[in-house]
Amino acid sequence: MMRAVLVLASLLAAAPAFALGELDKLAIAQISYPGNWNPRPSGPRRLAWEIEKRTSIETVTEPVEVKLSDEPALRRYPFLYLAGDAAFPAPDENDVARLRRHLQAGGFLLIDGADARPGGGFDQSVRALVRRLFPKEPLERVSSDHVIYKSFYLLRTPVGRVAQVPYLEGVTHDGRLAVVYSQNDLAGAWARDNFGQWEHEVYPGGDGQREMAFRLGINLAMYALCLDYKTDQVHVPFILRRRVWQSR
Amino acid sequence: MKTFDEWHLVSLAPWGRLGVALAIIAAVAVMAFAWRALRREERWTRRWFLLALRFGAVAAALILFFEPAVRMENVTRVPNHVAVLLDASESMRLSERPGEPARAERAARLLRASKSELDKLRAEHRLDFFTFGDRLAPTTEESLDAPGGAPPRAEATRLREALGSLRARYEGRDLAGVVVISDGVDNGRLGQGLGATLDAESLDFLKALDAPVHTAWVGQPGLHDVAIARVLADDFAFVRTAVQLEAVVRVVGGGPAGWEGKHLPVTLRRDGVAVRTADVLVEPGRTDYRVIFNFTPERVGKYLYEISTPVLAGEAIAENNARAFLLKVIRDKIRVLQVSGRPSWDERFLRGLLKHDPNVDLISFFILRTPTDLETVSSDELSLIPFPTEELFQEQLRSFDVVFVQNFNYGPYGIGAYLGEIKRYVEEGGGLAMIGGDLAFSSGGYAHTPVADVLPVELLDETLPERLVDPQPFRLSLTPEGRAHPVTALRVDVKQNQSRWAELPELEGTNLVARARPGATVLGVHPTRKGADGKPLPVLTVGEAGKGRVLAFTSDSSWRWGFVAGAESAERGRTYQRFWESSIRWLIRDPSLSFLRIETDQPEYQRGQKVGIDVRALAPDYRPAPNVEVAVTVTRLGEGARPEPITSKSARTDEDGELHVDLEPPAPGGYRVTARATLAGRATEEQDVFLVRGAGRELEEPEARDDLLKLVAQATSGTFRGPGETLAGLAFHPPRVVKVNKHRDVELWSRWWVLAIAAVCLGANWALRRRWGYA
Repeated sequence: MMRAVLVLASLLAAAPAFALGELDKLAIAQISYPGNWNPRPSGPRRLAWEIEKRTSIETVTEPVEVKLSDEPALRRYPFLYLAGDAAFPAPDENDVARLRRHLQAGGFLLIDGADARPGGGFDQSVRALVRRLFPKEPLERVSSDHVIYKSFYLLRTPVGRVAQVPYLEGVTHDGRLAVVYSQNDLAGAWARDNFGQWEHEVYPGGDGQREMAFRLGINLAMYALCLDYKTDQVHVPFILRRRVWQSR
Repeated sequence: MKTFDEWHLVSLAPWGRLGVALAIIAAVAVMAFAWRALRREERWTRRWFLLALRFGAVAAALILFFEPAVRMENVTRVPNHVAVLLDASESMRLSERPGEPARAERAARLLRASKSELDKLRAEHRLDFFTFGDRLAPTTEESLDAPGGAPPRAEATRLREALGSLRARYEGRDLAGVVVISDGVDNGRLGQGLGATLDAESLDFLKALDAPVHTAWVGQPGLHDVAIARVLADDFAFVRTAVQLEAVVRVVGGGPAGWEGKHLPVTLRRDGVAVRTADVLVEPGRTDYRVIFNFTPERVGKYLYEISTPVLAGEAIAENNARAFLLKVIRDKIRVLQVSGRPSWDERFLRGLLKHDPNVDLISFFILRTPTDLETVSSDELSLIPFPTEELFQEQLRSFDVVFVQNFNYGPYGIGAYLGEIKRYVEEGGGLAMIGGDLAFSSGGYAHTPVADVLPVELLDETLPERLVDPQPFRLSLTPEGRAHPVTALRVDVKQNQSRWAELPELEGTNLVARARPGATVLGVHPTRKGADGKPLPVLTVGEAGKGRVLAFTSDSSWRWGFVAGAESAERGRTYQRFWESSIRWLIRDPSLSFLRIETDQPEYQRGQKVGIDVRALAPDYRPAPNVEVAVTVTRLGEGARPEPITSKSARTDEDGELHVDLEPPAPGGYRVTARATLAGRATEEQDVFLVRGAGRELEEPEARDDLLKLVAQATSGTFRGPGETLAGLAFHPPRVVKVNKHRDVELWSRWWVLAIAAVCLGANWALRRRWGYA
């Protein structure tokens, strides 16, 4: 009883939050380049909104566009998002170097192939860019037991608008994933117009798959901000118990 | 006086060893040739007669060659040495029963009773007296047999080592024998693991003495005593890691004393406070009881531990019922708790830093979903776990060296009840860092809570959230204190340090606080905003609360020092890492960051030994601080919260910033030495702990035993004397060293008959060989 009173008193005592600034919030900064750099304009914004509603993460819901040549902008946003549905021009060396420094200093890059065509133009451009970014750290499949699949939701497979490629790829730098690449058009599943309609059909799983695409997006954001928090020993028994429950 | 009393043969020839060897070889060769020449002679009478003649001639030639003579001497015998060794170890001051003379007194009585026997020995021997314990020391007969002499104080009995010293002392001198008077308690090499016989190496050593060792036992059976005979403990232990101590409680004479069936409490104390107790049941016929204590040290430091049993009625010795030792508790890793109110970049970069640090054991708890967030799925589809408030903030709190409360509002999670626990954790020595954000400081509802009491800043008592923060970016400005403080000393050089801070990216907004708490140190301030006291608004402030330390950083964007600066250059990026690493080291009172250092010249002292204390004072730039007034106080451990100092001294450091204080030998026990000085404008205090040993190994096993003395006497052809016997009738080597007063040589070689024998032998040999047909 006493404890309940104290908790209640604490709640009353706590003043409502008023942010110190926007920088500590999660902003999904989308990299622009000559070409169709924003094939799903409402996708990232919708994901930010879902993150804000479902988790304690504070997000910047307005879309943010950055150019790799704009170093001050890059330094404001650790979470970068690169999307496209076709081949894009290779960035110049300075841009690649800036992006590399950004990722090495702690930044995170999510690459989303809207064309969902492995081996297609966008895929080829991405692989070429990653090779230039990290010549010694190749793009590799992200293991299915990676913390990215349990950073908030317990997930089994990565899906987007399609379930074309049943895995994510990524570049591990300094013990963490600095780059994550999805070829399933994540933002295609997230995109929703101003009238509340989903912009794209999700195939083959329908709305259930769409939900899984949101969960993956939230897990990716959570991973970017908490790293391998969910591999801490204290979480393991809980997660194992729930994994067992799910497998029945 | 007789003219001559001894004679012996000598050679007067000046040929030396080579000449002697050549002569003998020549003689043997001549005889060999003769034998060879006569080996075909069938008549043996002829052969042997001729050989005898040849031998006679050769012998006569050798006599002439060696010039033998009889040396007649007048000599005097020099008395050889009898060494009398008296045990002067601490066990000799014991008596087996109350009212009976101590063993040392019995030894003195034995010497007095044997005085006439000893005087008789002086006719042929010189008597040298020694005491032995942990070393051999010469003394006089008068000091040994005097009643009520100085009590024996040696910390150990090492008979083998004493005999070794004796042998070295009498190297090249004539030792007639040794008399050892002891209670037989030996903790040297002979006494270790003594069985029914001595080991081969000990036997060889004793035989090499080449002198009888007579032993006299002055002990008696019937001792009643309880002792902590042995303690097995390491010098150091790791904090929060289980430690095992083992003690052997020895109960001697428990049956006759009526202790059988009695329960003996065995207590482990730390700095005088009982931490564990075990129970020993005294059983018939059993002397040794193994007691094991398991405990987990919770704090880093040097502690005095003591294992003790109560003193029972009729015990011979009270001092051996307790045994003290020092245990240095060190940390293998710094255990850090990071609690964050929500995932954010500030939290992410701090976790990344701490997780990468091999010296840090990090436990993180982040609020991933608040009560106001949407719940669209069952919790079984989430990886979320309940916030273990009680475990973290009550059960395990003291296991952490540092707690980071990072943009965390305690209210929604039922932690308000534990805020008092956090305050106590700090006051007992824990480290706390509160990091800003919209859920921290006043925005987190900490005003008027126990945590606010220990923060180094005073919180605003506002309800309007917009008046609790300032979202405008700013560049942190170092205060004069911050320019050289260990937390903000990114570079050793003060100017370089300032420019390094000036290069750092701006911070994005700050929590507003009223002012720094009195006694706190403001290291960084807002460049334009003022606090309620009109002074620049504190942003980075450190302070102490009780034994603990607290850091308040009213911003949630220090991550930019790692991310933005790191993208510019790796070296600049390390600023973030250095800042937080230094903060942690300061919060845990890392000794390397202290401006004042104190250390005794050894951790443990023997009774009567002087204690040397070294103090070093450092300036804020870690250079030696000369001419600093330092007060050094020594207090006895285990005398309550405010013990009276046994010594207080004040002196100034020399040009190297050092001060040495010698302390007169304190009584046995544990002591805490504290140095206090004002450095960099702040009162600074450092401590060390030392132990003065009381009862040494002597009293661990105080029961007198005669077996070793019997074996030593037996091995050296000496005699063992038990209680009630005197030293009469002991046999010693006679003196071997003689002094020649005069001598005369009577030549044997120059006699006529020697020449005649030679001539007859040679002539007869020549004549007979011709007659019998030899060439």
